[in-house]
Amino acid sequence: MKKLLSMFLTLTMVLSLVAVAHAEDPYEVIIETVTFGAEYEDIPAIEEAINAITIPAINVTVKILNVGIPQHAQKISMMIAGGEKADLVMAGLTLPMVNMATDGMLLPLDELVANYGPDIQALFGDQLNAGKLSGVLYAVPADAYTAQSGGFIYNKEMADELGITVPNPVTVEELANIYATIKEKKPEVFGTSFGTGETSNALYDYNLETYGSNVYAYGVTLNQYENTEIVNMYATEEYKAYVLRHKEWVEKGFVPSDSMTSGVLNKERIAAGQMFGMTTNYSPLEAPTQQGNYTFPIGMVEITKAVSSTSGLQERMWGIPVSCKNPQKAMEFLNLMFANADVANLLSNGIEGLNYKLVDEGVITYADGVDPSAPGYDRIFSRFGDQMKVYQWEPATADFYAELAAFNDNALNSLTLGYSFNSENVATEVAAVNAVIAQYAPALECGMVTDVDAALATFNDQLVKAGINRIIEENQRQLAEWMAQ
Amino acid sequence: MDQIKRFLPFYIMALPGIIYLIINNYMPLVGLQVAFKRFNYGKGIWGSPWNGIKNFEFLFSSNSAQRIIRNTLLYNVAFILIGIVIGVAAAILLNEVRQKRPLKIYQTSILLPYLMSMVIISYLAYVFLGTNTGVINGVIRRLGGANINWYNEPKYWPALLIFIHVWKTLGFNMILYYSSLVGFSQDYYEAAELDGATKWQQITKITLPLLRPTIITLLILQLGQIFRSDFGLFYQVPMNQGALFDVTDTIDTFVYRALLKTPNIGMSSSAGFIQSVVGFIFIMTANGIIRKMSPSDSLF
Repeated sequence: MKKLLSMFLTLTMVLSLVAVAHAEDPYEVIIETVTFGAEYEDIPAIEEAINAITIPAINVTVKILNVGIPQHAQKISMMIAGGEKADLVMAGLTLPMVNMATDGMLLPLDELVANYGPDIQALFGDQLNAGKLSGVLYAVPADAYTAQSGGFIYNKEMADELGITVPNPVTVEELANIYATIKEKKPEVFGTSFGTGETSNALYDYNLETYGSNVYAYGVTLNQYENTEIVNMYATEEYKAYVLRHKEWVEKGFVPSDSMTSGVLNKERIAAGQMFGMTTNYSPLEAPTQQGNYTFPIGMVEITKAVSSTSGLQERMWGIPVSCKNPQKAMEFLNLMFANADVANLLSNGIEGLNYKLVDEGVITYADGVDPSAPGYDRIFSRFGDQMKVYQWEPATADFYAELAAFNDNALNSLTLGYSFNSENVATEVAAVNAVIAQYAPALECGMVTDVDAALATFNDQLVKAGINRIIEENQRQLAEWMAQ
Repeated sequence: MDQIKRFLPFYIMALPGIIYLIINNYMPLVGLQVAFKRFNYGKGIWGSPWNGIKNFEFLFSSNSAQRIIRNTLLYNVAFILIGIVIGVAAAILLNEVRQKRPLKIYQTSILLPYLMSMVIISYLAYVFLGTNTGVINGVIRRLGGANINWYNEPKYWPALLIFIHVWKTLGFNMILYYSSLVGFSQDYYEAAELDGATKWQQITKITLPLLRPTIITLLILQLGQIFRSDFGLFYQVPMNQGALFDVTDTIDTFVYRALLKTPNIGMSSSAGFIQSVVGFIFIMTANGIIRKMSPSDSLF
């Protein structure tokens, strides 16, 4: 009888243990990393290393979902529509966060952040507003240091060889003079290129707020740090000057005349030594990232003033999709990623010794035996954690962290920082306007149009017919409402 | 009842196909409602609110509407007509090749472009049409002429697109006609030869009439696609050049470009919905006309 009782007791104990263990099975958080689509063999090892931290801390395991950027928009739409489990997805990179929110892909995060995101609140402060639409928080910025200026990246080796010094900051006129020098000394090398013209690069020449459009479909605000008037960029004197300048550069042979069709990327031309440089985003984070594309040292200078804006913060954001099974755990993990440097480093750089090695304080390079052309892990488009706590790759130096902080502290705040435009009421006009822009803007911006005045007139005429003024009115109305609050 | 019993084995044999059709072709019909809804991922297809014909507005409110409809229809009419003429001609010529080895070589080489991706074809075209590096401009320069900026001159593109489409699809069309041709009894031709018919007379009096049902079937099927366009051909091959949109923009490319920046499932479904409805009307009308003219040739 005693034996039976003890057996029974043991059995209940075992059963209750199983039940307890079952109730506290760690929740698996699926987090995206957006890459070029290459396979990374070290992902399982990295997941294991992260789990070793996250299971004791918040009882969560992590699964890294590697998504190639060409399939990204479609893949996450399909996953969410199909109810497939995903817990943390990147908004902004391919699908604008505002669209994901209005299409019902993302869960509201206000309460989750208030209850489970203390470190997120501390890190981002008011910047969190950039993830809000009509007062509801839908996404958390992936990076707290997103101040940007328009900049210019160039082949430093070639500059030294030709005795060219690129001043910092540089003006567009100074750049034109540099292109002329290059044309003279090395006629086979192009100064720069406008690429395919499919995304508009005028924001590297002028301080612009584009309200989330990578062309200027929603209207723009020039000098957004002191101005809140929204205008049609394509009808401005600035745009005309921009187009005329490019036409002149084509005529002078500063740029390849077949860049719209050749399929050669700007960075490929620079890497091959056929081109001096190109305009790009500037921030202390950019130079170390872009250096990886080149075998020679590169230089980077600023063209426009550095500004913190909603667009910058919305470039990369973390959202919790409606198909997430346990939003609380997803938020707990997101918070841990910003709080815990080890988790952030594992997701950003992999495992020390296997993927990278420290060369200086906070500065890393490839671990011994890693083939840089096929690394076991690589972070490409996503950002994980607090960049102040994440190791940076060479050529960043130990000064990097101070530079990044100073750059962001000194940046001007856009007057519309925290405001997002919801284009839902004018979706019809936006579609029509985007189609018109795709037809006219690339050739104009690549300097391929001979009669600029006539082309700009037709272009703007079509834009007005497609309804750009109604979009701008709606945008200005929403902005006024937002500012009144 | 008796009949069902008698045909039961056949129904069972058809079952996998029927199930496939239901899953693949009939169940998705439910999704057509998305074209009339403000789609919301959280609420799903059934839960999303209706928004009438608002999704269709962007296709017709823009001033591109006339252009994209004209391009889509006219190119397809040209593709269908030229495709039939050249496909039938190629099949008849191939049928006259009696030696095995050359026959295989011709067949394969004509079919090859059909198997290529449009992205590859767009770069093949670029090899010829590139402004500075293209073969054609190279020849023009050699002959003392000036470069033609092919990707900036709309006037060349209707001919270029028709040529590329016919070149690409010829092989497949030809096989369809050729497979009917080889099935024709040789008796007709032997009898005709005894009566002194020329090759041309044999083609017009025997081959073409025998081929008529095949041609009509393919014609009706192609008419169902008349409001659709080969995205690769109209987007990749002209390298998405704005200067060419007047002659290269079709419904599919317009929808892609308009919604690339702000993806909207409702709006893209509305375009697909219209394409399907117009295709359906075309198939029914074409089949109706043919049934009136010669009932035995109609598809259903």
